[in-house]
Amino acid sequence: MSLITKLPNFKLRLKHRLIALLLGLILSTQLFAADQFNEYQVKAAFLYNFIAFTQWPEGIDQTKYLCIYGEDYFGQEIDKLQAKSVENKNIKILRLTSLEKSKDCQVLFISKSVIDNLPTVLTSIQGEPVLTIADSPQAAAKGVMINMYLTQNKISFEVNLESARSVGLDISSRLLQLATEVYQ
Amino acid sequence: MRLPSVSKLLLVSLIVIMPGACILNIASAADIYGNADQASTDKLIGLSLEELMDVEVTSVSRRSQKVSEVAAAVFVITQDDIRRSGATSIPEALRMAPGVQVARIGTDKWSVSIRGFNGRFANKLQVLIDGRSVYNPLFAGVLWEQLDTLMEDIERIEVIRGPSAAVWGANAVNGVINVITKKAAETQGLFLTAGGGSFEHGFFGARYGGKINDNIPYRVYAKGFTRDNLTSTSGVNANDAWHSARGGFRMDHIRGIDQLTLQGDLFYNSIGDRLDKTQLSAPIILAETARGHSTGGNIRLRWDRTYSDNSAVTLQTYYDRVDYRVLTTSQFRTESFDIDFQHRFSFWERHNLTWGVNYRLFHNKVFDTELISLRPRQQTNHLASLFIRDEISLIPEYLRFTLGARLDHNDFTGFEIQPNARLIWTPNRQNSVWASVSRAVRIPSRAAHDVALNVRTLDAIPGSSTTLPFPVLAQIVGSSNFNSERLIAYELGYRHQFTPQASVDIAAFYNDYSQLSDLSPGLPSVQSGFPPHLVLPVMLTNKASAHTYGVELSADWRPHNRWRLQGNYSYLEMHINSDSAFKQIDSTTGSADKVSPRHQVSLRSNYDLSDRLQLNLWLRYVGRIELYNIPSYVTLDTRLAFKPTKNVELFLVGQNLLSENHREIVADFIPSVSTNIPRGIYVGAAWRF
Repeated sequence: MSLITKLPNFKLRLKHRLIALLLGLILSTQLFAADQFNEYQVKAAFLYNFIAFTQWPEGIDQTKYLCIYGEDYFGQEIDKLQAKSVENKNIKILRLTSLEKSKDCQVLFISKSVIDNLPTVLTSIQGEPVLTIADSPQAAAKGVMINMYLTQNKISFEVNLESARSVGLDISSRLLQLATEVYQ
Repeated sequence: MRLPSVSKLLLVSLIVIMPGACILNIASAADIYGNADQASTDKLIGLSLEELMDVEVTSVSRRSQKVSEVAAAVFVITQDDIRRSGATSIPEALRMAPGVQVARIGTDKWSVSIRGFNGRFANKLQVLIDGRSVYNPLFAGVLWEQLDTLMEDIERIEVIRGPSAAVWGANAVNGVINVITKKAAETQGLFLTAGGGSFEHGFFGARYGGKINDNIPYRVYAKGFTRDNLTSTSGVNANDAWHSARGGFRMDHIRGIDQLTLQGDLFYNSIGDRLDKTQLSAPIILAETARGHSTGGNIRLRWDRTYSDNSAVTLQTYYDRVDYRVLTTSQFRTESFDIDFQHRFSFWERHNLTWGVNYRLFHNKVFDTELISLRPRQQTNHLASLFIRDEISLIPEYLRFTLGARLDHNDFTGFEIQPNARLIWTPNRQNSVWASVSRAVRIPSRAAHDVALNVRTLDAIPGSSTTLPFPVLAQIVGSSNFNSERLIAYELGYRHQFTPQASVDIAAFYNDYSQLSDLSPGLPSVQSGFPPHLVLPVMLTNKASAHTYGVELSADWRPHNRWRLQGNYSYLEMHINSDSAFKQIDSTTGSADKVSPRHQVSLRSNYDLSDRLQLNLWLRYVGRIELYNIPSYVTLDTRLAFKPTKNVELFLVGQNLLSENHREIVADFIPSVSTNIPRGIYVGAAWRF
């Protein structure tokens, strides 16, 4: 009962609030500033850049298979890279459930869900020109070529140049300049 | 009456949603369905590396992503939800979850349950904070005023509807509420908040997070508040003003594959009560008002060793103590010691096995009052359990089957077994369907065995037509024959992800309860003294049964980056079988079907008007409570937040705005006066450094 008797009054007040809200909303479209991105959306964009700034040895196919091993936190974000090509490199996304096909990848993203198995993962591609990327603490020190990490809500990365050079990958100096640490 | 009020509600909700609809027309159609992300990913790829390194990101909680893969009805209330709701306590925040009945009895007292059987001592709901149970085995139920922490430090609240006894142990019959606080590393720096208003007279909170060294982050916090008393429906002060002080710390240590957490809290609550003298009439019971305090503390140590994603061990132990002294109604002291070990590993590729053992010691002492006494006064109870659960990928990534069981041994009913089976089918990323069958038990509280509780005075002995020359005092008397309450639950659920921005979650259940607690009159005896009166012993039996069913629907939609709409609807139908003479007045079982609302709706709109201004609206409808003749109500909470600088937030919160007062529920067992819940407004500020 009380609900119904209170309603007309409520509607009136709501009308005023509505006008205020509408005004606010219209104003807000003009104020649209920096968007909020989720972590893996940004990390996907980083991956795109890492591929762009890496040179594979001669004779490697121009189509780059970007493989994700372990739990996929990117979701559909990463698939959007397939529509892009970078300096004549086409990107194809593969989600690996085992390491059998890891040698066919040009880029291997090692998810944090499987980082405990890192030695096995690295052994499976030993000597192959596969750009390894991770986002787990200490991964670069343990042999992963590029490792991303979060500090103060921003993404930084470190590079293990020695691992990359040992299999003939050439990482651009522009990347090295921006890396927070370079292991030689 | 019900239909018009529902249609009015729809109208109101349309009005609230309408402004958003207008904005949709302003935004381009491409932004609505999924392309928004494409656009922003494009935008990101267009950025240079330097620019990318300057983009601020919001991190994704791994667990919440996985909610879509859980074969149970799970709802997660995030820190963002809590902050935007303006809720100042955990029970108030729980109103956001579907299938949960939350009703405020007094400033410091709540009734909270899931899928029915609500009451101040709702006994079929397990509640944990950071793995520490706050379910009180002394009289069954949760004293919600003792469950608190700095609201800003809560990472999320997982609300699991339906039995999860196989994982969480006995008493997780109708559901589990799991409050999880942030890790110390996530609460670094200084945080200060303060404010006040009409009902929330004043509050402050302070937290400092630092590091002993790189591997040992810690935090310390303190908070305090004072809340107004409520007014009873007959206009008297309910004597329940609440003053609280609380402090605690958390320290985490990560070393290789090991992770250690040490955490502790201390609290002091000054609380009170006023009894409804029409229920417990003088001069048989003299007690009318009560005032006092509860104090308590706990300390918890947890050790996690993670060998890999599929293999880990966890060892946790805690100690918890509460002293409760609110005279003239009750006084008790409880101490719990709990140790829990779990081991998880995978084998034969497709099996993921978890097993664990748990032991809990519960020491308690109850002092006699005019209302309650327990014999023996003091006791130590033991609970031991063993659980095992195997998660089997029948078809990897498509079909997963989980089989689990828990074996408990308690002092009252001996061994109890609680098995469950769950199946989830995820044909693709957009759809998942799950089903489950579980058995769960609610083991008797110590009070159910040992209590003598003066609950109310009666005009006549129920079931007899003779008028008596004496007043009658009904006294609930525990029985050592009282057995566990049992449930077999059947559940079905479906989730659909329309776009990354829109999803729905539907769950339906059928609960079949047996051996429910019921009341049966014993032989009255004359109590001499002044005035002479009859004492009617009311025995606890297990003669009732019930079946309940219902549907909960929740939807989440982000029309664009700055706007999120969340809605849910809960439907609950209860049928109780009881031939007790007290059926009409027993809110715990006999009339439990008349204590929980049949329909509940919650609609939330979180809108970022700009980078500095947020407007959050929260509209709720709760159906009528038949037993207490409480009409259905619609209410609205709003929160307007303004960030003048990056570190400062100012907020204005309005609670229960649509009417000056509304009623929610009436207390059970201890007959506190029934109260009006008032409109409340508060302002405050938060600083982060």
